[in-house]
Amino acid sequence: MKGSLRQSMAFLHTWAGLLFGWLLLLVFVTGTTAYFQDEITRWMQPEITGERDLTASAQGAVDYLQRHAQGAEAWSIQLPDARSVAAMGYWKEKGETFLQWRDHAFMVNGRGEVVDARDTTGGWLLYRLHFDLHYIPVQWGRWIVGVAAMFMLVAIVSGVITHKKIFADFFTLRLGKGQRSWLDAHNLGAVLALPFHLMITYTGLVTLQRVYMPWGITAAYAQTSDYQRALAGPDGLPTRSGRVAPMAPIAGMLAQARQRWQGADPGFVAVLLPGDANAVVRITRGTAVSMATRGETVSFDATTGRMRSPPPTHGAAALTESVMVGLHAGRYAPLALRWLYVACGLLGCAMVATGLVLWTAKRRLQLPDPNRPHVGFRLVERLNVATIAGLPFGIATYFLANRLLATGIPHRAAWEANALFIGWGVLALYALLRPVRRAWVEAMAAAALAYLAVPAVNALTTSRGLWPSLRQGDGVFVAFDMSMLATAAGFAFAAWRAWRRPPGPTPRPRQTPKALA
Amino acid sequence: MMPLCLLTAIAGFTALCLGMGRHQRDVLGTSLSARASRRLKALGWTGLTASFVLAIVRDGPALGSVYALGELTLSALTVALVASRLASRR
Repeated sequence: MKGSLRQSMAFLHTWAGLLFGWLLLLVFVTGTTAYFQDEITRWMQPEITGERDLTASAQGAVDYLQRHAQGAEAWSIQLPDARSVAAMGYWKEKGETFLQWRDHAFMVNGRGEVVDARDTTGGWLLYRLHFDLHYIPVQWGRWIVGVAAMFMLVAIVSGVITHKKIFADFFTLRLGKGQRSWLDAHNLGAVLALPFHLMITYTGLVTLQRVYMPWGITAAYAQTSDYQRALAGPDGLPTRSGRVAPMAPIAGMLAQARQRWQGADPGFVAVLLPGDANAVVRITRGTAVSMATRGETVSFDATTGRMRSPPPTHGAAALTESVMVGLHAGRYAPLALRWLYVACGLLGCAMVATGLVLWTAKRRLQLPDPNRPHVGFRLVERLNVATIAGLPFGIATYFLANRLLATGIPHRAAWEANALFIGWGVLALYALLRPVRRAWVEAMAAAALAYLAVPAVNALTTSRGLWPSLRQGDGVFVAFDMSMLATAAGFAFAAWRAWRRPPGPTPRPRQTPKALA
Repeated sequence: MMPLCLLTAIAGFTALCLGMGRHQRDVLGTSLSARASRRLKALGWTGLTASFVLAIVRDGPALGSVYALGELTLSALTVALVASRLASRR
């Protein structure tokens, strides 16, 4: 029975992994970049310089909103955390959905000045791609990614059962041995970061549990809005009085909030019914201070600046959820831990990519005629090139578009996003048209060149190239450009290895083609 | 203290790796006695435990365990890559 369990688990692992592998690679790659979301956004808005000053930028945002959005339904100010410089303000007109706010978002630097920064979605695009996908309604995206995550969990568990010698093979990586090498690399990426993979997949499902399993809420509350109200406290939306009243200085409210949180920084400010006598200011704690990611929100009377009754304290279940989401998103993580998250994320990318290649490496030897594989095999082969080299290439074109698109064009941020998918699509199409061995070499070389071009174009189009950044000790810009160069080196190495590989699949199974596809 | 945690974990994984029969042949080119292997494995587990404990002393149980798991992953990867390199050279 033991053998048959392992066999059925191997079957499940192989096909669950293949079916969702390409999507999971997208989720892993974009999820890994999301740990540096703020830093990516900073690089993509080179106009924003200077030091962070939370109170000054909050006041600057309020001033701007008072001039430009007096009749709005709500104002929002995303305050800069320790990894950012600028606050982002936006407002919601009556009837607008949350996702339309980007149309009137603005950035305020640490001197309280509104900065005319280029229109970009920054690291946020990659973060949203991680669970919303793109070009389709977000609810679809979340369901598709949720199903993929569920299969990821299935693949992890079935993979552990399938893996015959999980301890004996713990450190094993035999290179240059064809299929064997791919299996070793796949196992290494999976087993060494197994705690991360399990945590990230499970907590990933938890982040969207209200989408996937809403029944707990529907059983206890007549409407979802009732639940939101119970979570946020009794004073949700105020009613409009119709009387105009000025707002008390935001600095005093921020100071009160900070005092309540033992000095922890506020992260978000919302002003409901701004300008009205019944206006309410809500300040939410920042995420850097605790693993529990959902920080407390305190409310103030906007006109007096006095704190309202403290919000309800939440039970153990809400705290558990908050910590799980926090553990997933890593918003609390200090820089060193953030890099460890990224290292584990990269191992996850490697695990998925090598798993996909392994599927072809294993089957190539069993093909009736290795030079003329069947349609399914060729499809998998091409999709592998298109995703493993194509997606990173698309991300590089996204960064390049950020530097190269003219700053004044309409829908500029949307065109940056389009550039990602155009770049990806072009490379995918190219991979479909070339012989597969050439496609691997050329697509990975193209990705290497694209990543090499990012710091070069940055140096040519801005005053914040690698050299000036190094001289000024600008850690974020140096790290970004260096990461681009490291990615370029990685793809160049992979392209070189694929190029050097002896030609054609050899007929004798004992002498399998050397490494890489 | 993070370098110390990493070094302890790398030392631990190195001892564990050298305590395993196949890696002895691949990396050292010889097999160690059963007793030496047992001792290496015990040393290895001690190193990993020490690394975990150090992380918790440094950052407390919650943050410390998250750090420790990441540090262990990175250390094991380092040892596996070095072992692979050494084995291919022989």
